[in-house]
Amino acid sequence: VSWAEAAANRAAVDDGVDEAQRASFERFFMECHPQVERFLSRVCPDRDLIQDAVQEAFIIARAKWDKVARHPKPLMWVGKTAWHRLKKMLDQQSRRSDVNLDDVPPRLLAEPSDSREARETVLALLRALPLRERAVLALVLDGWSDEEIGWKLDVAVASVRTYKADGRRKMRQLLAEEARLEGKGP
Amino acid sequence: MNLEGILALAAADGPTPMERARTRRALRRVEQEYVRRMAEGPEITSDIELHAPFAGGMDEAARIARAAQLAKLGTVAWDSRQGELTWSAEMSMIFGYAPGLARPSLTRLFALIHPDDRAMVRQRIRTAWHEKTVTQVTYRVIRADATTGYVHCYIEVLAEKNGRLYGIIATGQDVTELELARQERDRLARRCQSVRMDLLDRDPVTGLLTRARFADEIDRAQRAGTGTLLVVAARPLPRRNGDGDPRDDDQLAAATAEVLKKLARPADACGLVGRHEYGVLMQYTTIDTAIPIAEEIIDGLGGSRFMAAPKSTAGPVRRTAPARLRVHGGLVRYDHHTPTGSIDLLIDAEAAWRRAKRNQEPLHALRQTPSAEERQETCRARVRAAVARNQFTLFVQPMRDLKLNRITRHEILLRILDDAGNAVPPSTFLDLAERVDEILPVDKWVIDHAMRLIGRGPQTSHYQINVSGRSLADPRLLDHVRQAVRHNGVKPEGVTFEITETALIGNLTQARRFTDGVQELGCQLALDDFGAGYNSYTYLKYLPIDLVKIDGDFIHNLPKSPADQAIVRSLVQVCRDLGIRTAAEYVQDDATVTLLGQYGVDFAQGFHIGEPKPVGSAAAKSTEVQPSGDPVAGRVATG
Repeated sequence: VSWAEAAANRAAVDDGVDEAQRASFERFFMECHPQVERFLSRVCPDRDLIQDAVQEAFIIARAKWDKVARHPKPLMWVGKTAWHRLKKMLDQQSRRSDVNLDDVPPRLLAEPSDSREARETVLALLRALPLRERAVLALVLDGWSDEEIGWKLDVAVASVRTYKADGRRKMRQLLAEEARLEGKGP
Repeated sequence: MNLEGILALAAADGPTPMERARTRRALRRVEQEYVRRMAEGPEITSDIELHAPFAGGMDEAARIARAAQLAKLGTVAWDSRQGELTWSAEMSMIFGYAPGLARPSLTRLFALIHPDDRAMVRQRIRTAWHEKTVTQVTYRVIRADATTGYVHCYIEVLAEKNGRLYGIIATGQDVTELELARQERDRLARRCQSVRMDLLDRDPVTGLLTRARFADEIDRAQRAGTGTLLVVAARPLPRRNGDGDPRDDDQLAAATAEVLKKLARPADACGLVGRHEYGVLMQYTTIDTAIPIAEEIIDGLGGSRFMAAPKSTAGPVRRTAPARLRVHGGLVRYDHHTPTGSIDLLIDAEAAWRRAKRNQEPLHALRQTPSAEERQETCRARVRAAVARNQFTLFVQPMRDLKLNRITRHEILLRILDDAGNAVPPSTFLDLAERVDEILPVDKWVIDHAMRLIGRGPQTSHYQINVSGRSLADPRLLDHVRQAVRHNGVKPEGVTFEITETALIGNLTQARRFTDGVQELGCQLALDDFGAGYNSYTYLKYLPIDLVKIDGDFIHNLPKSPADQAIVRSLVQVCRDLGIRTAAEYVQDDATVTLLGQYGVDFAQGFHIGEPKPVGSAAAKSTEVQPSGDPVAGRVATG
C-alpha cells in the first residue's frame, strides 16, 4: 500500500467518523433546539439576543460533540451554555443603555382558550418576574428537578425553591389582579 | 382559569410542522457557521465545563464559587461546620485588597462594609439563614485605599445532599458604576419634576411678552440685522365715573393687546413694556418704511372703543361708557453695526413717545440715536421731575403674624402717579432711577413721607419701609433716616427697612455702615425678594438682617409645587438657625398659609391676607388706624 493510498484510507475513515458524528448531532439538534430556544424566550423578550445565544451554544456543542455526546445530560449542558451567553449579552446591554426591555411587560390575555394563547399568558406572567425567578420557573415548566435547575443556573437548591415559591405566588397575584380588572373576580 | 390550568394548557402540545421547519433552518445556520469557524482557525471554546453535573466531590459551595469565577464574580463563603469564612481572589479585589493579602474573617468582612450599611447587611444574612431563602443586597464597602464602592450580592444558603444547611455563600460584583448611573437617573427624574421649564415670559393678563423677555427679543433682533422699535403708550381717556378698579384696567389691557396683535404684522414681536405701554419690534424695517405701519397701529388703537363686559348680575348695575385710548408712539431704529442695549432702546423709544405727547402729535420718530450722555440726562430729568412734582403716593399692605394669627405689621409701598393721576406699581420707574443713579431722591421721598405718616398715627403697628439697595452706599441716606425719625417722633423699634434688590447692593462695606447705623437707631432690617435675582446668602452672613422676605415666586404656587416647598422649608431652617425671621409674599390662599405655618414662617403677606390700599382709604383704615387729612393720602383721593 502506498503512502498516498494509506492517507486516502485514513481520510475515508475520518470522513466516516465525521459523518456519524454529524448525524447524531443533527438528531440531538432537532430534538433539543426547540427546548433551549423556548427556555430562553421565556426568560428574555429580545428575539435577536436569544437567537445569537442559542446558535452560539449549539456551535460549541457541534465543535465538542464527541465530548458533549458522552455527557450525562447534553441538553442541560447546551441549555446552560446558552443561558450563560444570554446573561452575558443582557449584562452588556444593560450597561450600555438605560432602557431595559424587561421593564415593559406585555399585556396579559384575558382568558386563554387554546394552547397558543395559554403560552402567551405564561410568557406575560413570567415577564413580570425578576430574571432569576423567571429562569427558574421557565425550567420548572419544562419539568426539570430542583437539583437540575440549581446546577443549570448555578444557584443553590434552597434558592431554587425560594424562587419557585415566590414566582408562583407573584404569578397568582397577577392573575387575580387581572381578573379583578376584567370585572370577573371579587 | 387558575395558574395550574393555564400552565397545563400551555404545555399541551408538540412542535408544529412550521416549528420543525424553523428548527431545520436553524440547524443549517449552525452547520454553516461551524464549518466557517473551523476553517478560520481559532478554537471554539466555552466557559462551561464539561464535567458531569452531579459528580461527587463537588458540593454546592464549590459549584457556585466555580461558576462565579467563570463569570468574573466574587464569592464570600461561610461554612458553619468549620466556622470558617473564605473569599475568592475576585472578591478580594472588589474589597480593594490584592488576593491573599487580607486574611478573611467575619470581623474583617464587617469592618469593610460601610458603617451605615452594616446593620442592613447583617439583617439580610440572618433572614436568608433563618428562612432558608435567597436574598440580594447592595451595600457600600470602604476599600483598602479608603475609597467607597458599591457591591451587589446574592446571598444564598448552602445545603448538603440530605438537605441539612451547612453554610452561606454570597456572590458579588462591583456595581459602583451601575449604582452611580442609577442614582443619576433618579436624580434627573427628580430634577425634571422639580425644575420649571417655562420661564415666565408672557404677561398673564395680556398674553404679550413681559418687558424682560421683550428686551431679549430686541437683543436677538439686533444681532440679526437692522430694524425699528415702536413703543406706543395707550392710556385710557378719563371716564366720567372713572374709578380705579384694577380689574377694569386688566380688562382694558387685555383688550388693547388683542387689538394691537391684529394691527401689528404677524411676525412682529409684541410686548407689554410698561403700564399702558406696548412695544412692537419691526425687524428689517427702516424708519421710513416703519412710519406707515406705526401710524396704522396708533390710528387703530386710538379709533377703538372698548366696551366693558357686564359685571356679575348680583352687583349694582353701573352705566359704563365705552373706554377710549389716548395713543402716542415713539419710533427708534436699531442697527447691528452700532448696537444699543435693549433697555437703552426701550428708554429711547419711551422718550420718543413722551416727545410726541409734548408736541401733541401721534408719532415721534427718532432718526438719530441719542448718545449715552443724552439718554442719561433725559432719564435723570424725568426722575427729578417726578420727585419735584410729587408724582408719588404711598400704599399700605397688611402682614399677618402667623403665630398670633393677626395683622401686626404693614408694608408701606411706593406707587407712581401717571399722567391721569392713577397710582401704578413703580418697578419700571425704579429700574430707570437706579440705572441713572437717581434712586436716592426717590428713597428720601419715601422715607420722608412714610415717617410723617407713621409719626401722625398711633404707632400701634410695625411698619416696613423700602429702600433701594443702591442707596445704601450713600452716606447721606443714613443722616436722612436719623432726621426723619427724630423729626416725626417715630418709635424706631416699630420700623423695619426693607432692602430691595432691584440692583446689586453696590458696596458691602458702605451697606454695612448703613445697616449698622439703622440698628444703632433701634430700627430693624429686612431683605426683600430673597431667593430671586442678586440676593445671596452672603448678605445673611455679613449684614445684620432681622427678617428675610421670601420671594413671591417661591410662594404663589406653593401648595402644588414640591420644589418650592423644599426651597422654602430649607430657607426657613437656615434663617431660624441664624436668628432671622421670615416672611412670605404673594400668599394667595389658605392652603399656602397652612403650609407656611407648618414650616415656621413668621409673617404672611399677599392678596389673600390683604391688598395694598391707598393710605387713608377706608379699607386701609379698617386694618390700621390711619391719620386723616394727610396731604400724602390726599393726593390719591384727588388724583
